[in-house]
Amino acid sequence: MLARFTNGLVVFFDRWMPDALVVALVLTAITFALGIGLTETEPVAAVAIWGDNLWNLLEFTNQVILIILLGYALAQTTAMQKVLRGAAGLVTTPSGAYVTVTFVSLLSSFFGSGGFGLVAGAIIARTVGIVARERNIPVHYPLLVACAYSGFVIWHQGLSATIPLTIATPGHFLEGTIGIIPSSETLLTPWNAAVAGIIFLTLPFVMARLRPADEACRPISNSSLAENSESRSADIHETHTPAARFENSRWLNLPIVVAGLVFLYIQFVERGTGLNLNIINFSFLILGVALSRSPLHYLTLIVNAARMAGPFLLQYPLYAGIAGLIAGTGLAQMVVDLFVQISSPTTLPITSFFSGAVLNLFVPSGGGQWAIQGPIAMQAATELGANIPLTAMAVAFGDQWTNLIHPFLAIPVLAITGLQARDIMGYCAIAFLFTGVIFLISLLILI
Amino acid sequence: MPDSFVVAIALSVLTFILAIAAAGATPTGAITAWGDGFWNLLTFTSQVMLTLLLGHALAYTPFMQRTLKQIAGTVRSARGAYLTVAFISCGTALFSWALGLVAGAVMARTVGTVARERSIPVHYPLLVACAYSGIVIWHQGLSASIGLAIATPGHFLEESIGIVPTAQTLFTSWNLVTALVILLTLPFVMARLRPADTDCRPLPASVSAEAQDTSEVINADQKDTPAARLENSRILNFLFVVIGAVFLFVEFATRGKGLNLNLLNFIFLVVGVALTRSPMHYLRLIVAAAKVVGPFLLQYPFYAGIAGMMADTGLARMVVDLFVQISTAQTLPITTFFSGAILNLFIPSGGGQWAVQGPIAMQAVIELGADVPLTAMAVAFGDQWTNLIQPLIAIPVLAIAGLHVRDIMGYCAVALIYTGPIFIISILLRI
Repeated sequence: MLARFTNGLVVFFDRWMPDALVVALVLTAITFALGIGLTETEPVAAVAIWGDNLWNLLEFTNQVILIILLGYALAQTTAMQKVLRGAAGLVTTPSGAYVTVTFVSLLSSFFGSGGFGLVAGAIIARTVGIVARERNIPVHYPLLVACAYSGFVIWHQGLSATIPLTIATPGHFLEGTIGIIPSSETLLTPWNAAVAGIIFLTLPFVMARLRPADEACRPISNSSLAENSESRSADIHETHTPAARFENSRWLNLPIVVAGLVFLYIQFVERGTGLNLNIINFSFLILGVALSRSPLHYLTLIVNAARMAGPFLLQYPLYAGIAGLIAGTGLAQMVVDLFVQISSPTTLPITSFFSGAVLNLFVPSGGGQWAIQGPIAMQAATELGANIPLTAMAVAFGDQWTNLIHPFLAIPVLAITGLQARDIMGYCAIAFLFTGVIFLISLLILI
Repeated sequence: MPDSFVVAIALSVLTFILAIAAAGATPTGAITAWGDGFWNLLTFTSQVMLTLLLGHALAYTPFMQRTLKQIAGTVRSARGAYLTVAFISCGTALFSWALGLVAGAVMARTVGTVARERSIPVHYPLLVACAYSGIVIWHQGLSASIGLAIATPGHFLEESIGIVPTAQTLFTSWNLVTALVILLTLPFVMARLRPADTDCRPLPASVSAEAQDTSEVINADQKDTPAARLENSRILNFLFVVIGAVFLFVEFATRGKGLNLNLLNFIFLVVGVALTRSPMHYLRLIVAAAKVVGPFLLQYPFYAGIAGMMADTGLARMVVDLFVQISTAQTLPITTFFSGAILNLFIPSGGGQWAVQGPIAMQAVIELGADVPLTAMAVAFGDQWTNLIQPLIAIPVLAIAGLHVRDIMGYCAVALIYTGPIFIISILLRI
């Protein structure tokens, strides 16, 4: 039955799921229609709001692109390739492959950060895919990549969870309404750990159960592998001028690595700064330079990876525009109000979960979503006398949950693995249904 | 001349040594300043990457390709090729430096292809150097960071120098004449540099083949599903262009805004979408263009680190102070020009350089009683002048043209030597 259902979903998404860019454009059009139709906003005013907000996320866009490029370049260095292939070599069965990739993805999303989890999962999926092909292990590559993406469903309960970390920070923008909510009431509660633990222990096996019959398996294709061979063509300059020798010398890597390590020591040990995107990127960069043969070798790895940046640079502004439109026209207020109106103190966490899930489709960034939904949800929680930490976590659950069916966030995974959104979305939908039940049941138990 | 990434590393090391030896910083202090500054330019980097990406995609739409080929088709001689490319580069750089880089590079490529087809003996490295030459007048044009910054109410030096309207800086006849002299003579100087016909290296076949690739991939996806029909439909493009046009009307007509990087990117985006057949067609052009941004993404943080080191350890202050000490009210603009030129090698972004050099230079102006607008423009002249030999700024041009920085730097150095006296004489006449 599961096989038939899975297959049905896979075929459905293959037929109906357009490219992420088209999704972004359609969402823009829908937001315009809703904003003009449901609120008092004039069409021209809506366009002005949209255009004013397009470039709001430029810094964040750059950070995300860097984490993908630097992470990918690091994975392509000779030393990391050996490590990754060694680890992938331990996988001997298809089930082992799916379980391993899902588990790595969950682990790095939870303990690292959302962006790190995506990159790590995608790189492992790719390496396992290559090793499986070499050894004739029948692995269905689209499912393997879906496994790599599925771990993302847990990020908002982990160490980089935007909402709980924000409301635990003194001076956060809702301090006036809800005060400071320490992580001990959100992230570090037994119930949050229990929900995460259940997903950790079940999702890998659910994903593995989805595997098609051996003869229906599509291994990693040559076109997905194409980039890999390119990156081996470093050291293209054969000339032996002083400049060329300089470029290809390992010694030039040394000052960067030494200075980088000193700075990381200062950041972590002396200043005690926690993990953030800039530090992760810095660490990736230093490690990547340390493991490459020369500055030029590293540059080649980056340039080969750069094509992945294109779709991101193009689509991030579109989502910034949508977020601006939703906030500026009062549409977000309407959606959340609607859910609040039908809520009581006990049901508010549940309705917040669903409104968060819907809003996430339009505002995929966790922080951006909180900026819009947070004020309204927290005001409702205060007025109704509902459980504030739980309601905040319910928004986080909703946010991470619909990530699974959002093609935009899958772009880094798809770029690294060389697939299309429609290849993996059928499997992601199953993970979506499965984790949805877990999130709902746990919220019902907790209220 | 090594690759620009190596130059960035070497400059980092040099700055580190100078910060310790000359400015008296401790090694850990210098490293902290470096690391803290490293990610300071993320927003700006994104904007520049978008300009390159969207500009490149726009240039490869079928309509623009036809137009560019038509312009390139009027080139009948090698001399005409150099003149056309240099003139387009200088002319567009006066509107926006980023536009100048993209337009110049794409034009060089197109002219290179046409010259190859017609067997006109054109030396491609010189042609690309012509495409880069416009960067030497950008800071006198409509995207001039310093001139625009000090004309903006609330700018960070308002207390010391007040608001300096563009009528006193960019739109003085003095500045316009200087720009015009370069615009009208530099292309001819560049054309004079051409080697003998037999020494000419045409556009490499690999580069021109690549151009064909990106412009002619049309429909790899043959499936006929609802999703594919939407991906390849014109409707979404049409809607987007309508919305975009309304916003541009609001910005320009209703609000009366001037050009800035975000707006330029928006125009590139809307026109690019308007000239493509479908969202997927546009996306393919974007993906093909994305290789251009890699080196930039990697190297900008290194320059942000250098700027952080120079500012936090007091090294920048030392350099500018040194020049100020040997100056009088009369000579300050000249010494500022030279200190700006040197500083630009370490801090290539015009705005970033002004953040470091501006406060010190403007304080000196007030103490010595020198000419404020002229000294500010002298910083701008110094900044744009050494761009000619700063490999970071050349990255987009080289990425589009498919050359290595060492191929063009010899010719750029000649342009540097030629334009230097023009700037100095122009400042001297104004003092």
